[in-house]
Amino acid sequence: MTVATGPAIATGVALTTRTSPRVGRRLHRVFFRNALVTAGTVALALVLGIAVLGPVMSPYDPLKSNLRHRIQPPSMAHIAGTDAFGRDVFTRIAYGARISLVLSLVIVVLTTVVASVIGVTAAWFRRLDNPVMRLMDVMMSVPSLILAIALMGFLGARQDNLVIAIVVTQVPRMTRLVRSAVLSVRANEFVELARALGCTNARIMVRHIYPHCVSPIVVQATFLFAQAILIEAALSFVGVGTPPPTPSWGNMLAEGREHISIAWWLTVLPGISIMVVVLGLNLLGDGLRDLLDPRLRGQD
Amino acid sequence: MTVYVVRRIAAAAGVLLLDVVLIFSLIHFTPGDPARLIVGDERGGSANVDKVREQLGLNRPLPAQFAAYIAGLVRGDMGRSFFSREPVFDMLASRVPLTLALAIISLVIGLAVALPTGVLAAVKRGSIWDQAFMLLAMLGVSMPSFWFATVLMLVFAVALGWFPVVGYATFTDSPGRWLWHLVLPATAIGVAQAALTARMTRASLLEVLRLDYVTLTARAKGLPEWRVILKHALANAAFPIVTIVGMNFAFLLGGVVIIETVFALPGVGSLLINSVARRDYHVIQGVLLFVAAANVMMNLVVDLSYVVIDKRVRYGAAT
Repeated sequence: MTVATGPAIATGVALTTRTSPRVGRRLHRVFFRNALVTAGTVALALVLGIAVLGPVMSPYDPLKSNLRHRIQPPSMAHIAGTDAFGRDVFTRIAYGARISLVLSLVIVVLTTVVASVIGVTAAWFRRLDNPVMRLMDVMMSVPSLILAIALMGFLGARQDNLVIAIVVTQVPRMTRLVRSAVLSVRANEFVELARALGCTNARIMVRHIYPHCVSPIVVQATFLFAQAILIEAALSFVGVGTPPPTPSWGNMLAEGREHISIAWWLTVLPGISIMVVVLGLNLLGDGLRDLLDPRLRGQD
Repeated sequence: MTVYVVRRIAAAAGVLLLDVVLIFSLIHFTPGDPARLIVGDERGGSANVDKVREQLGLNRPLPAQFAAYIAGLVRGDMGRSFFSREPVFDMLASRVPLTLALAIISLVIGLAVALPTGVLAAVKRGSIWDQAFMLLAMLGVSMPSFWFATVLMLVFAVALGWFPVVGYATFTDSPGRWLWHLVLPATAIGVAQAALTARMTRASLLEVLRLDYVTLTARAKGLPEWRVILKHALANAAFPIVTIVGMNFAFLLGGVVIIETVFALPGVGSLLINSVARRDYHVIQGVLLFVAAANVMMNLVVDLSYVVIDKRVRYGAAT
């Protein structure tokens, strides 16, 4: 990805300066002037609503089996039908949404923090740059999904290890982005000026350089969120992610596949949930990129 | 040009060597004692643990372990499975052809869909076609490919009965049945691949279409529009498109691994997943090594193809 310069940097400043009166107007414009962002936000709000309200409103338990009501198609009582244990699928999708969203959010935050520290350090201390970036290249030479699955084998199938495995696979790409953003910002004269004024390395990095890199990082973090949801689902689907009976969209799809010839709703509905969230995040990411990084506008 | 080629090959070899180091060291990141984890809580306790540790080579000092690992790799020895006692190399050898075939068929399907739609979308920018294709592409990148595979299975195998639900026929038994079993999985991966590639094809072609020598020179010569697009614009967009195919290959391999599970195909992916569940470390390492090597090779081929595609590389300008 190309690094933001010029107008994009100005946007980065506007978003990070807490006192600027333009922030409110700017956010308003971001969320309502751009059709992509609006559509993405609506899709996300829908799933977030289900995640927050679904478990509260549903009369069913996501874990307790009820064998008399197993594999029932969608009806008034069970709007998304029931699964092989007689559990309400809608309730499980809602609990699964909580798990997917929270896990993915943790993954995004951890990845961004780790990648920011590594990326800023690599870009600032030139002697570290080459070894660190070569290590990232090597990590990226194994497809992230496959590396994450393999890591689960070494770490052991637990939810905290799931987060670790996915973060490890996503850090290299984010690090690259942070590094190139920092490199382009550090070429500016104000960095020279800050140094002349006696700022320490740490202060220059944290106060003067990093804030200018925020907009490309925010855009990338949005896409990363979408990736995290997809990878978590894939890992749970093949049985090395969130372990059943805890509902996760991925392991629900795995159970659905076993009953594919008799119960379409077990396959179709959790998949649509994944698609709506990921689509929402991708639209939001595209929209934010258009708004925050005008140089790239209209390229795809 | 020779300098460029040699440099690319050296870089690929370097990455692969570091991959070997990384994959070797993975077992040392296992929390706790890998040998005890494999033995589990079975009876026999510490005697068994010691035996497994010896099989893993973990009782030797680290440099000796690494030297032994490298020496083994050079001979084509990747260790043995802890469960079947089969050499990892043989396990891979019997499964790699299916996985590669699936990857290649998916790649072909992906390009066959992505190139025409991406080009059409760029040429008719803003038209209903453009918007429809890009909406579909957006949906395509947003759905999990294993889910799309399951839906394809639901519609074409379960409901319509055109294709087998699961199972596999070997190529040597019957090439026709073999292909018939691969159509749905390859389509699922290919469509996900196409969605990514179509978006990028459109973007890079749009870049080129803005350039003077396309808009002015080629058209001023009075060339018909299709020749302007195909000969002048697409030739220049080929460079980024080939790059994209190389970049997406890693994503494609990831898709293949998961899709094999959906259709119960006996490839490298299902081997990986079975081994992860059983913590069969040597097999996991073997699979990782194969995947890394395949990906590095693919990217090397992409790098070298620039020499053919783009004369600027051939004359050394872009090295």
